[in-house]
Order: sequence, then C-alpha cells, then structure tokens
Amino acid sequence: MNRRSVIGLVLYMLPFALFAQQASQKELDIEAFVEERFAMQEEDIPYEDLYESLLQRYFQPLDLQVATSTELQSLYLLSPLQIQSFIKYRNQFGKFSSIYELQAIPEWTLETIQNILPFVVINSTHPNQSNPGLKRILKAENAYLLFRQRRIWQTRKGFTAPDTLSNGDLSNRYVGDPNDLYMRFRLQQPADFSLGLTLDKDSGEKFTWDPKSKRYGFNYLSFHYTLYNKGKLKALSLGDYQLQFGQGLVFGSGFSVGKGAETITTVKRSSTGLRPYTSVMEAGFFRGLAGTYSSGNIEWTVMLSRTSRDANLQYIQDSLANESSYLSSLVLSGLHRTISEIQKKAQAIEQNIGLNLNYRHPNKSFRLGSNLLYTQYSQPLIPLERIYNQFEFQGKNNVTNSLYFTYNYRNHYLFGESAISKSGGMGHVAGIMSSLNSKVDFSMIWRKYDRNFHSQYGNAFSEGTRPINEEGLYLGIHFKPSRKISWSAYYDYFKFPWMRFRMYAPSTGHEWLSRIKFQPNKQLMLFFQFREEVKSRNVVSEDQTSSQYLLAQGKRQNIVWNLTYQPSRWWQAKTRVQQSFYRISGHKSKGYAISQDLSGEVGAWKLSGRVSLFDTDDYENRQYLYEKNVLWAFSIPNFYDQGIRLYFLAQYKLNRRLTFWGRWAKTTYTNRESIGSGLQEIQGNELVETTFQLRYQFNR
Amino acid sequence: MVNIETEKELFSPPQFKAGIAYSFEEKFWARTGITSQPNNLYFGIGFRPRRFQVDYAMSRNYLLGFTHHFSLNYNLKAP
Repeated sequence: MNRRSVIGLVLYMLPFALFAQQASQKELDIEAFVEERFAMQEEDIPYEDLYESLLQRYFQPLDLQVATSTELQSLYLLSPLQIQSFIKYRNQFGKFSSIYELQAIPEWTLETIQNILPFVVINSTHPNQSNPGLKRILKAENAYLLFRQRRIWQTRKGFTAPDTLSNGDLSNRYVGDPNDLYMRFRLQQPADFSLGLTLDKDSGEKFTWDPKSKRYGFNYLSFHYTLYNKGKLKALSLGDYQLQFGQGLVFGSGFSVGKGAETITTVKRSSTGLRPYTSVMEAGFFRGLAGTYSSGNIEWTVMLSRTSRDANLQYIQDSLANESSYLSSLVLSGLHRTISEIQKKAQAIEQNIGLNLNYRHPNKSFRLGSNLLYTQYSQPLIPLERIYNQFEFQGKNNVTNSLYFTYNYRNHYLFGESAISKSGGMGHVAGIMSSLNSKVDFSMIWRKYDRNFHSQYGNAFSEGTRPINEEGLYLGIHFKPSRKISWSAYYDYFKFPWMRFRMYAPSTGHEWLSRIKFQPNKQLMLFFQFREEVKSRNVVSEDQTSSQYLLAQGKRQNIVWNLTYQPSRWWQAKTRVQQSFYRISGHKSKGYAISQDLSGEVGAWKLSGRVSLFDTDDYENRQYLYEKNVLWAFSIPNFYDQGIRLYFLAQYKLNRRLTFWGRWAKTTYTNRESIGSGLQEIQGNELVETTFQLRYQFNR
Repeated sequence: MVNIETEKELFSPPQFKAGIAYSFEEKFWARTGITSQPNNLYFGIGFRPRRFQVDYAMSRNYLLGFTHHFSLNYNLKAP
C-alpha cells in the first residue's frame, strides 16, 4: 500500500471531524492540560514557572519534520514506543505532507495527536526571513500586548490606617494600593527570534521612582531578546533566561514535573537548553548573556549572569570598627509591600558563569554532556544556625559540575547524571523509561543527594523541593489494555539521611498513587485517583517530652473522583469530588470538597463558572482546586475550614486583534469571622476577587 | 508479565504485592516488585539457557536493608 492511500484510508475511517476547525496550531487549554497530567496538587511545585514554560513551548512549537527524539520527549506527552515509531515512520516515508498524516503512525492514537497539537507544527516557515532588521521584527507572527488587573475588594489589615505604638512609631502597613497589575509585551517569530518585556506590580506595592531603594516604576521588570538558528549559533539570548541540561542537577530550570498522575513520561528531564525567561517569579533565573554554538556533533553553551537578589543583610561590627556585612538569608517572595520588605530589595549581587558541553553520537542514540556553574555572591551567605541546616550552603561562592548521559536502545531510554559541588557533596540520578510492549510502559528512577550537595539552580527529581539530603527509588507503570481504559500508578520510597525542617531526626517515608481512567466515548471521561503518602514529622509541642524531640509517622490519603461530560463542542460539564484523610500520632482529621463546573461557547463569547463546597477539619486537609482563569493566568487556590466558593469567567473576542476577559470569584466561609493573618487579615467571612484582562494582537 | 496480589493474615493489616517481569531476547528476564506492609522493594534478573534457569534477586527490607537471593533450576522436560 502506498503512503497516500494509507492516509486516505485512515481519514476515511475516522468520521468525526477532529481537525475540522483548524489544521494549524490549536489554542492551548492550559487548565485541562495541566489537570490531566499533574493532578496531585502540591504547594511546593512552582506552578507559575511550569506554566510559563508550557507557554514558551506553545509559542516555540516543535517542527515535526526535524524534531529529534530528545525534543519529542521534552513534551512529556509521548511514550518511548510512540517516539520510536514516529522516528521509524519518518525515516521510512520522509517528510510529512500535513498534520493529518500523524494519524497513520503506528501506536499514535487520536488522543495522542490532540494532546501534542498545541506544541507542534509541520514545516515552520520563515516568511519574513528575507526582510532585514527592524522590519522583520515588526512583522512578527506572535505580537501582542497583554494587560491584567486583579484586586481583592475586602480591605486587608495592611491597607488600614496604622496604629501608634507605645514608643510613638507607627505600626507596619503596606505602602502601595491593593491593585495587582501585570503587563506583558511580546514580539516573537518561532525559530527566528523573540523579544519580550514583562512588568509586574503586586498588591500592596507602590509605583515609585526611587533609585535609593532600587524601585523603578513597576516593582518587577523582565526583558529578553533571543535569536535562534543564526548559522552555527543555535541560540543567543540577552536579558533574562533559563537553562535546562541533563537531569537537572546543575541547570534545572523550566518545565519539569516529578511525581504526578502521569507516571512515565515526566520522570526524565530533557536537555532543552537555553530559553528566554518571561515569568514573574522574582528568583530562579539568570540575567545577562548566553549563547549556544553548535559545531558538528558538539554543542557549546556559555552563560554569564549578574543580577541583584533580595536578601536579609546583617552588619558585624569588629574591633577595628570596620563594618562588614553578611547575608542571613535570600528572600524569594519578590514582595516589596512594607518598609522592611523594601529594605531587603536588591541587597546582594549574584554573579554566575556557566558552561555546558553536549556531545551527540552520530547515530543519535547516545548523548553525553557536562555542566559547570560558578556562583558568587557579593557578601557571604551565613544562615542562622540550626541543626537541620548545618550542611546547607554557606559562604560566598559555589561551584557545581556534572556529567550526564542519555542512551536509547529500541523502546528503552536510560539516563543519568552525577554532580559534585564545592563542598564535596555529590548528587546522582539514574533511571530508565521504557515501553515494555504496546500496552505497558514502565519507569524507574533512583536518586541520591548528599546532605551537603549544593546546587543553586538545580531542580532534579526529588521528594523535597530541592535536590539535597535525600535518597529514594521511584517505580512507575502505565497500562492501557484498550482504548477506553487506562491505569497508571507509581510507588516512591524516600529517605532523608539528615534532619529537615520539622523533622528533627533522620527519617523515611513512601508514597503511592493509582489512577484509573475510563473514557467510553468522546463525550464522557471518568477517572478515580487514590494517593497515599507516609512521611515523618515532629509531633506537636504538647506531645513532646522535655528532654528530646519525637517524630511520628503522618499518613495522608487523597481520593479524587472526576466526571467530565462534553455532549457537543459548545458546552461541557465537570463534576469533581475530593476527599482527604490525615492521621498522625492517634489524631485523625478529614476534608471534603465537591465542585460543579459548566462552560460553554456562544458566538464571540466563552463563558464558564463553578460552584464548590468545602469542609475540612484542619489545614492538613486543605483542598486544592484548579480553577479556570483569564488566559495565561494560573490559579490553584487551596481551601480549608468550611464554606462555598463561586467563580464566573467570561471571554469576549471583539475582533481579530482585541480580546477581553473578566473574572469574578467569591469565597464565603461559614465558620470564620476573619480571613488570613497578620497584615493579610480581612475582617468578615467573605472574600471577593476580580480580574480584568485585555490582549491586543498586532499583525492580525 | 504483570502480577498483582493481596494477602491477609488475621490480626495484621492486609498486604498488597505487585510485580512486573520483562523478557529480552527470550532468554533474559528483568523483574521488579513491591509489597506494602512492610514496604519492601524487589529487583531480579534471570537467565534461561535451554533447560537451565539461573535467577538472582535483591530485596530491600525497609529496616534491614538489602538481602540477596540466588536460585538455580533444571527442567527435566525441555520447555
């Protein structure tokens, strides 16, 4: 059978018009995407960052005509078998004639294709390539200006008039107004260049031009200009950027998820390299210059960065009256609302020099690379001494270097990275990701991070938030016996060889998850998920004996039931029930949440809303609920105590250039008289938040 | 081959077991498994030349650490 007739036949056999609306890039539904893959909500995942990276992917789609297996893996959507059969198919038949041809690849289902569509293109064309300089920039394909305003209408304590303290001073209050403003400007041509500017002012921050406190208008400003594919220069970035190489022990920024409902494809990190940084998280990125140079099978990346960091600065007066200073901690919140927060702004300078070398074997199945990063602070970092942090990073500079590899044998991917930091502490990650047959996928990953392994920009697979003081083994499986049913599960065992915050002894724990998904037809999707985590923690102070600290095993169980019903393209309904149980040293507590969503499309309008009810015994059982938000904003609020949450979201497309969004959300607590604590406190039991956004697209 | 089983002894919590075995080139086997209560992990490799069967397993008890197991089988009938 020749190739054309294969395509013809497949198209004929699939009667529903999956791609009827548009064959080009699909608009990204981020909530659905994230929710399906990373369904266990945890506060320690930097969602904001993850989301930004997804967006970058979306704006910089992969060209399937030339995509390598590493690049395909980095989407976290394809099993090793699917990648293998894709490469085989492309080698056999040559270039794809259209996106429809993807349906002819063995092992690729319609679901797979739907999932990857937002992130891929067939033939990234460069229509403006011939235009010189400025003209080309002005003709960019993705060119937009986005403005967002968010506000909470109840008055937080920080915005009330200050009290006079007994010594005559005024008590601490926020200096700015309660509006949260965000602006983003972007000119971008896939595979050619990207130019962007992001501005942000958080609630309570003030617009002011004050070089003394390093405040210039908007509280946060991020800029980048990145060029791609200029001859042997694969990428060159000026401004803010991030790097991801190997398994994330040295350079681990960007889109990386560890444990979640997707048990196979997310455990391995891919070397995605240099990417511009556009998020509003005010730490965790580099600012300066970086470039990737490619010659034959070797790629070099060199980076230079110099950025100011928020820090707690302490002065030491020595006997000669020479003043010296040190940093007691770096502040990562990025908030500058009160006088004391403003004083911490940009107190330290951090400089980084880094190098990456990446070698690719000519047959593409083996890659080897090495990372080196040197970090220096303007003052030494000396955290307040505690037993649990005595092996943490201290001092003025750090060097981390590593060696990593990936090896592909048929449907099996082996990978690993080993790193050593200046302290002599080492970190290792090794694993396998494999399709055992067309129905079963399997993954295994082992990691060991010494208690004195220091990596400032590391983000490797771990139970804790950073790769330090941990050893563990993860096993994951995905089983798809038929097109309608799939089952995924993982088991993870971890050990912390040294004390941690709230764990005053070395400890162990484990976690497992199981999710069964049933999709009888295109309209209906059901899943059930169970997760259990057993982890030690200090028992509460009342139960402690005076002479020693005691640890107890806490067991947390989460259950999620979900039903999504989409009878037509125009509307969909979703029902979700979440339950949780937490048990520690004889105390039992539980939580419950139920939510009902309804969303639909009418002409130029897109509407959605939700009602949810939550009832939890305590903070341990807080319920995380994904919520739809204005485009490219992200929210997973958590709720505890008792109450009702409502939200309503509307999108209106005025014309091809201008789109508006509005969102109204309200939480009513039935058992509280005030919400929040400290300066965030609100009197009353209601919280109303509104968001307004507009986007103007040029060149449309 | 994927296996799941559960075992219950009176007066002790139920135990769940799951295991997976995968063969390369017919003769080699790789296996791994877990049990709950106690939380143990198991890894194994096997080799089956003709009528012989050589297996090695490593199991990790959550308190005792690693133990190693070897076995050698001879099939009287050709498989």
